[in-house]
Amino acid sequence: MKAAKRPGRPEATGGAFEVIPVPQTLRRKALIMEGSLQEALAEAVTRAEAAVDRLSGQFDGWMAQEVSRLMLAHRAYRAAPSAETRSGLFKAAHDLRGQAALFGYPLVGRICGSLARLMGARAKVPEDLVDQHVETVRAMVREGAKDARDQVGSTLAAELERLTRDILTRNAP
Amino acid sequence: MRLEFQRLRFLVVEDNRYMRLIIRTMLHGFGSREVYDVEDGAAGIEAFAAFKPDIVITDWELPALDGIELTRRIRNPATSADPYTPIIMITAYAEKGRVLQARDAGVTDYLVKPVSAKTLYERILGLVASPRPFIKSTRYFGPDRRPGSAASGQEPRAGAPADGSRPERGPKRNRNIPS
Repeated sequence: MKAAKRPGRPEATGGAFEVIPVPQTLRRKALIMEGSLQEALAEAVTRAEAAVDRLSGQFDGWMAQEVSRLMLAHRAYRAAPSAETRSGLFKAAHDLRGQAALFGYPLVGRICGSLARLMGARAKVPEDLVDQHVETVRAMVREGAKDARDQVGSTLAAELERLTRDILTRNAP
Repeated sequence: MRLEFQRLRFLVVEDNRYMRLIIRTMLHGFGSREVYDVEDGAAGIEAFAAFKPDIVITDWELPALDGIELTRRIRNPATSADPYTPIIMITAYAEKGRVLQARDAGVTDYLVKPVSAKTLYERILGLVASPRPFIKSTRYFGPDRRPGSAASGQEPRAGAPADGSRPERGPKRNRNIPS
């Protein structure tokens, strides 16, 4: 196999590591030193945000798909707990953790983050706490609970996070 | 100063179809015309060799081969087509331990989902305009992780750059070895 490129002369340090200057290849290729950076940034970001905004009409449908995936994974895990079904539920929760806020459900993102931590840990987890997480997600999406400042929703999310923290601390291997 | 995105080639490695579409949409919005995306880490390795991207954007949790292992393989100077390729990890993991793990695997930058278009643009601009030198030691090959190097020193939060500058306390280290 071809040897990796060595872009610059390593600086001799006399120690246990070398500092290797990298070439400015991408800079030469794509950075144009004219015009206002702020204007260019604003223009590009506005275009990108508008493009994402054009997708936003689909967000409710995508959210429903992801929540449905979470429900299926939960059902599979409860029917037959195993490393595989636990991993499936973890992945569904982890994905929602990263996407729910973008789709308009920041509190659901928090709850899925808590669930992902629960399912991703090596500790034994109480099934009812797992169920509570999933049921809360289902209820929030059903109710269209999109406001991050909603008191009831925030309190629920905080409580589930606290319970998860306690369990993981108590049951740490 | 501006970035000509149409001159840059991106490889996106992300198993979730909605996130793949969001990232691709942002990159196209910036002006990119060459965005190649794959759904798992193994396909990512093949695409890296075949497509020769300028920048890799990868998730952490991936089927077949995760983003950390993908990063290690790209950073292997003995076998990689270009171990200096900038790698941006975009993941739902926000824990500091995860950030440090990704840093130690050799990622160039680390963003927590959901990512804004502004943050993504700024991070890409940073690694194009001010690439960090690389460090080669017996245990590490990748971007300079030492405090004071670019894109270090910030707490991970949604869409923000990573705090890769302060390793957790451990045994005394040889001061010659980068932290």
